[in-house]
Amino acid sequence: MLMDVKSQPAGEWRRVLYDLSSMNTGLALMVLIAGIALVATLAFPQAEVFHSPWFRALLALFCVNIACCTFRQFRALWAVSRRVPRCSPSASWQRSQWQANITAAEVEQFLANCRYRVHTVQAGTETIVYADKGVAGRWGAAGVHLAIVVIAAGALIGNLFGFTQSVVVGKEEAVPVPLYKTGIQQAQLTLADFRIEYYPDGSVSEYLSDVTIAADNEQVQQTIKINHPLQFQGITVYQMDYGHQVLARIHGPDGTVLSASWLTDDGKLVIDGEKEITLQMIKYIPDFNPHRPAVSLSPLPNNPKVLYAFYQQNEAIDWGVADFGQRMRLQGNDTWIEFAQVRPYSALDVKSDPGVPVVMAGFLLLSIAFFLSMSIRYQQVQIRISTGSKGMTIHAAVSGLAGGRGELFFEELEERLTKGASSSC
Amino acid sequence: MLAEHTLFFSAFSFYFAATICYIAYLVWLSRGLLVTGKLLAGIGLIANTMALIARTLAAGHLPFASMYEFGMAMVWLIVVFWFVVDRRQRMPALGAFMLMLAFMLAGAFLSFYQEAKPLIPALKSNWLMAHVITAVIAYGALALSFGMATLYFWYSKFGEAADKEKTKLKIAFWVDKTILFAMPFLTLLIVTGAVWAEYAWGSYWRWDPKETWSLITWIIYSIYLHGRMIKNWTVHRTMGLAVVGFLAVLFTFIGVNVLLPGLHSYAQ
Repeated sequence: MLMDVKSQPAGEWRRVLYDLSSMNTGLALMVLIAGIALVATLAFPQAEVFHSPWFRALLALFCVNIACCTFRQFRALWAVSRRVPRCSPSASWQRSQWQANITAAEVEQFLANCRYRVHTVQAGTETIVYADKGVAGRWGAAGVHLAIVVIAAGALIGNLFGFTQSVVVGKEEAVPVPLYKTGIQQAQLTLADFRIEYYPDGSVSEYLSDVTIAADNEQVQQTIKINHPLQFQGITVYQMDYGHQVLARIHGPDGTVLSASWLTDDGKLVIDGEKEITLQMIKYIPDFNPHRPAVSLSPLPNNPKVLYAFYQQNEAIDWGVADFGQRMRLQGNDTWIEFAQVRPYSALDVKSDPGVPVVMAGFLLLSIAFFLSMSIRYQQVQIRISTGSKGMTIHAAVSGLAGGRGELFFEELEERLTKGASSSC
Repeated sequence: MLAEHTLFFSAFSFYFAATICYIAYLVWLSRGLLVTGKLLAGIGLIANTMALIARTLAAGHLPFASMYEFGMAMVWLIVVFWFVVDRRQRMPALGAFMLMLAFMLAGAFLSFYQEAKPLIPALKSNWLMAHVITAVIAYGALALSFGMATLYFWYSKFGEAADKEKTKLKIAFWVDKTILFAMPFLTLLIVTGAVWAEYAWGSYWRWDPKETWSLITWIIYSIYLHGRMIKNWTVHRTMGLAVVGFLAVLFTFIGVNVLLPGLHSYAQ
């Protein structure tokens, strides 16, 4: 978008390209995206605005705008890099004029001293000196736009070919995890242990999952932490959450185990399918406080209990706090239930995103190109020297010098050229 | 009473006193007020520096882990940037705006005081340093551009007619220069955050409120750059955009932490 479009090319498809790649379209889309993002975060924090098809379409349109613009930029940039462009000053250029007796050679010398590339053309009675400098800055600006396209391409690749799957794995449990989006090939992930390390002041220092992952005769053992994921055959496993699982057992009248299941907080177990009776483990409390039953005194298992409720047809019929091994029986039911064991679990995200290297390359390009474009400004100068009845008139026009720098440039130019063009820049 | 908190409160008090001197200077144009104001700001900066050092020693890590810690560093850099510009350019009135911003921010961050704590697991990464340093530089420079843009509007209304236009152009030039300096760091801030998030949680972009607002801020300054450099928008218009841009920065930094829960909630 850093290229200002001066004339509209002929042909329908070129017209579409022109509209799509115009800076005005780009700026309008940026305002729209920022406005929607602002409203979405403030008014609808839980809404899935950012994942809605229309918002994605808007982002896609913006990417198309940037891509078209980048293409046009690089095409123009190639020409600019080869020679000083001979373009007429547009409305955005800053202009000045004054009287002075100097030759085109002196102007050329002055601009060359100021490190401008110079090209002089004779047009009738006028001599026109074209000059520019800071082409690297334009490459930087084009690089910023290209980087946004690259990042968008990486995100698209990730969306099409990547996957994320959340797994909950208890201590000493093994679960299958996918190696590809199709899920055809799987690896076996085993959690040997989950630990929490603490600082001396009692605050958490680290969450650690000791895991083993194996597939195709390859096996890797690693401790996964936040900021320290596991990488294995193209997938990455991240530490996301943790908690406790409680083993709930349903016993028959004779004490035989009818069914057993590991439940996490808010997990449910069907007791009687016909009567639609279910048990919900509301919360595991490692250090029970009778005065505040729902809040554990500490994370240590000093007085472990389980807060539970029975439901019939989604209506609570009983609730309480149970010890481990305590028998719980429902009225009119021969079976009894107990919470037998507790174990830690780790919640992990298994992810594969082939677009990430592309996105990272885009980020790198974006950072470098931004520093380049902001530290080197592309400037263009056109100086017309014409001779009339009042003597020589200098018409100067400059672009790329914003924020009052254009005026300062003219002041300096006039002063130097009046003193003599041999003055150093 | 904790030493670093007392030191930062002292810095706040000195910045406040210096602001009073600079505002009085705007009214009476007394050189004595200017010298006193600068001296008080200098003492405030020393207290701020000592507060940062004391906090680092108490926490056992650089003060980048919470909004209070980051705020101390940001206020420090705002005042350092102001001293640098003040040395290079004769814009004494700028002190009134920059120091007012510094003491107001210092006051706000003091209200978010937290005792020094060791790093939480999510922050134990080498990316923390890169992410927060770029944030401090970008936000500090954008605060400077905000101060200068407000000075521009003040000059537009109250500046002396003799050199009003020239001074306004000079201020606009410095606002441009500051935003050009800040923008790559603002970009780097988002990039380092995204790379870190990918490494920590496996997702470089989640539309988390902090991420979204940092994008909004980036878009505002991108529009500023396009408008100023290419579309040749009027200075008045772009100075307004510079003010709006920094208000977005403040919301990204403070508002999001306080009002919108997300991945950066620990910062509160």
